[in-house]
Amino acid sequence: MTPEQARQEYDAQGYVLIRSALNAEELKRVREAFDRAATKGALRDLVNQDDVFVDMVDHPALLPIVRAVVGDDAQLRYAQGGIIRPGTDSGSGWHCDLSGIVGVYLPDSILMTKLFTYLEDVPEDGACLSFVPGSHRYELGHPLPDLAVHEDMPHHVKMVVRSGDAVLMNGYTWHARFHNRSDRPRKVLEYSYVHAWMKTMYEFKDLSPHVQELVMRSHNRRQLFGVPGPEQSDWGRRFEGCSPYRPVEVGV
Amino acid sequence: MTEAQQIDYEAQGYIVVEGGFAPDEFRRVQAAFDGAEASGGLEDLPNRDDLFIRLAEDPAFFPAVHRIVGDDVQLRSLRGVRLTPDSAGRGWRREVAGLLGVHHPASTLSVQVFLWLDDAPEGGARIAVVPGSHRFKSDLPFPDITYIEEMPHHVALRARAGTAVLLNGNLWQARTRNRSGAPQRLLEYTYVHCWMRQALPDLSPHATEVASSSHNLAQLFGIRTDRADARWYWGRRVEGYPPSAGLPERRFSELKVVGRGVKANE
Repeated sequence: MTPEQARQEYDAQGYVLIRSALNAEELKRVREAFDRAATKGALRDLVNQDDVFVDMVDHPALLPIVRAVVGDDAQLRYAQGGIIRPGTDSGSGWHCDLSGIVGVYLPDSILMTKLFTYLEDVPEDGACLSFVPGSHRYELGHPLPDLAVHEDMPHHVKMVVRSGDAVLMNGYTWHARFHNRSDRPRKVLEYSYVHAWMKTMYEFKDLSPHVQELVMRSHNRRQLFGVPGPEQSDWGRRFEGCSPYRPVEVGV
Repeated sequence: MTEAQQIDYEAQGYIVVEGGFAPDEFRRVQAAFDGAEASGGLEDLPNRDDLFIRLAEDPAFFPAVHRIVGDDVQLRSLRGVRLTPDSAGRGWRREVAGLLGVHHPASTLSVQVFLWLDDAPEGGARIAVVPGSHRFKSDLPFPDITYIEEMPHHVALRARAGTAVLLNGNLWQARTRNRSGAPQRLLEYTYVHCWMRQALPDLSPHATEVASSSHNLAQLFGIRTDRADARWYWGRRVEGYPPSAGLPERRFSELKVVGRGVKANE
């Protein structure tokens, strides 16, 4: 899937499923690091746990898609891991992450997007992430139907995925995570991307010196991790290779 | 903010607020400006005088800012400017033009407050706007003009000492050249949402203490609250004002989460 195809799908549906984003070798490396982090209870502090989680921020199969969707000013808001144990009623109800946001006309904006990368297969009865396709275009204030259980949501689509697949979701799309009825855990990386002019949910100084060093190696990583750029206001940051933003002014 | 001001702002993208300051208060603002300027601190106002911190929530204009931006309002930047005689203007622009991802004509990401500290002399600099342009499509190009005054349909806003001009960040705006023989002092406060980055100078311990002295100032200056509370990112809310979801006014659903019930196994 090319970044352009992914963007078209995302624009139309409010999410896009990216098959086999990680190859077998990458998947093994990420799984091992994930399990170590889980054992330490550090899944919410992922990037400090292993270099592979820093590498996932600008993974060559995923970042071009994030960039095509979010734009040339993309930035990481947070990175964390999650496990849903087998046979648990731990689903989240149908909701929209950005329902409380004011100031932005969300049906025509892309403010925040989440990237889920799956480390285990998620079967039909697993803790499937599910969407109402096209709901990212609903008018602000469009009411959720008053329903009791996940399965009652009309037109929903379940993400039945294989390990190594990834799903990119618009933060304004109606979604839910179903209860895990299967016999296997759901292990997933959750990376949230926003724009460089928005705040991150971590402080760069809270990253370990080693991770800071990894981040400082490239222009794009410095932007992705929100390291201030003295040469450019955060309102005009762009990835390397783009035309630098120059405010247009006319008249003297 | 009166209903008339609200309608005016929605239609034109700006409002002009006059007479909000008591004479004594306003003289203190002018004196604080001069003090900051004398020490080369017009880009460092919060650290030069506590007054500039408290001014961020001044009743002369802040209630209108809050109504327009919403409860999650936060200060992005503040600075002082002295427009010396014959100082250049600033060309036509949209402040939020570089912010990707947002449909600006139907959104409000920022509001600028320009507070004039001197009466505008004849030929003095003025804030100029194209009324209603905050609703223009973002890709609408500016006309190819040489002089600021050539912009069709623009309005150069008259101002006296104490006049506050509030602009939607997407409005086509400019500042004309100061062609008078007198200097003009101007304060610029820019407000955004709490989840947006700020461009404030590093606050001194004293300035941090002052900004932390009230819930609202702490929010306006982005003083960190408990990071374990997820509301610090999207959900900060000022207190003591009628709730505002910002302008334009929209209705929101009462239902935030549905469908968590458990379906019996079959």
